[in-house]
Amino acid sequence: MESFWKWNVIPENFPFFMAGFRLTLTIFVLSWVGCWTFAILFGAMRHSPRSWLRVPAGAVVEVIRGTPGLMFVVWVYFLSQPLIGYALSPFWAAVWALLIHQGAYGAEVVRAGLSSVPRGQVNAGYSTGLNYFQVMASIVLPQALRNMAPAIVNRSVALFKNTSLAFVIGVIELFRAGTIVNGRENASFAVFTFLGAVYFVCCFSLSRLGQRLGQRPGVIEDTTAV
Amino acid sequence: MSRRWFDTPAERRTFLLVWGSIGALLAWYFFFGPRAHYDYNWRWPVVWRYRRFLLWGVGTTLYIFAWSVGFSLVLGVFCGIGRTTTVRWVRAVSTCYVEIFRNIPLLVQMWWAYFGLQQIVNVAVNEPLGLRILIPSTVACILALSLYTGAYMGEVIRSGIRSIPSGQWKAATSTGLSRAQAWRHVILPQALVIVIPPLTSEVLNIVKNSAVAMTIAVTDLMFYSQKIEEETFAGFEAYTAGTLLFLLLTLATVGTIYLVQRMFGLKVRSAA
Repeated sequence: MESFWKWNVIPENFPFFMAGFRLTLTIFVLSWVGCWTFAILFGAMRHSPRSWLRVPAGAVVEVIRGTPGLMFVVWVYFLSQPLIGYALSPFWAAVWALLIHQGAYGAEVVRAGLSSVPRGQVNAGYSTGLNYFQVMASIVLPQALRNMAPAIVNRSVALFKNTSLAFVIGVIELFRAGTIVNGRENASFAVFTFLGAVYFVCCFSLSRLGQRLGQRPGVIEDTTAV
Repeated sequence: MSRRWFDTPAERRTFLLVWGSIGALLAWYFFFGPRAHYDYNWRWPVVWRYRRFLLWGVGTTLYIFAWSVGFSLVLGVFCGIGRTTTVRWVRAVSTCYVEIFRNIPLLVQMWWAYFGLQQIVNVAVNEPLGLRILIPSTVACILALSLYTGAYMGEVIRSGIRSIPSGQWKAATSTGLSRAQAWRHVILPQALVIVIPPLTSEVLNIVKNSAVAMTIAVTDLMFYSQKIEEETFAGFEAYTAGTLLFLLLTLATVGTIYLVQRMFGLKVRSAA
């Protein structure tokens, strides 16, 4: 009975899991940076009073938000060949797909954050002679960021969980490393419990941080399951 | 905010300049760019030829969706109540449930429910009794999807219950209602109406997250999109059709919920 659950599989394949985890972290960091660049760009566009910026950005964000992340990962991977002419490697396809998919959700967070600062303050900034970027940097963002902080953390948790979707296009990150080990050793209970524990530790500590930031009135909460 | 498209001629000029140059750049890239002569054999007719696959996929996705919505709503209501009661152990159990299921990727949960659970069934039931019970992948998928979404719905419903002023509780108990009666007739009817808009987006997330079921060989829309790709190598066409169908499903869900809300005369706020 002691060998049935095959817990020994975990320490025996530990270096392999670690390599997978490192790749998961790499995907997470790269797409996190890109995700918030995308989010700030599209969030600012959606916040704009000019409809020629607002409407196209809104259309892009809503369409992306209406599609599943898994479908998006696969789609970007296959789309790269016919549309841009280069076949993206699975790794970069995963990074780009996660970046765009979570960026669309992030854009909503940014838009809500920007809207949480009253228009009067923006207009006051303009009337003292500041330009758009100065108003954003010294008046809107310091306040908006404080309100957005918990939502940004929640989005990051979602992004971290979604890095596991990269497994469908063959990136050997933590989850795929787990499935490979499981395929070889046939120890599904041990492997998937271990994977769950690793993801749980990472995401739980992140979301604790988010909860600590979010105990004020007026913050934007974004706890959607994608 | 209802505005005209352009307030000033300068704005129209900026619009044309910005989007025109983006469009021109893209057009240049596709027609004259360094990879313009890359030959991709577009075969859109395969989507129509394999329409049955896509329809079967939509059917399975809807089936999973229906069961998961039911289960996760029930779970979410119980979890929301559990997170707000004063009974300490109930609160602890529901907090554990929420934290565990929200912080593990759905993919891991689904594989755990399909492969890990099978091993438990083997040890606990199959081997002692000499049976060969196999967990169907659809059951594993519905189980994982309901538990995952139930945790999120529990949080939404908890915040709905929290927003009911405590005076309602006091009024309910002072008219002689028991605790269960107060929940059923006073608190929940108000709380559940408040949380309809955020619950709508959770329901939509079920549609989107059900795509993950493909990885444990549930024959859903995503699975059949991949199948078309395998049979014809027209990956871009197949996945585009699948994506559009998913969009259609989410739009149809939003539309249905909107109609239901209108039917009950509730105030409709933005969903999705």
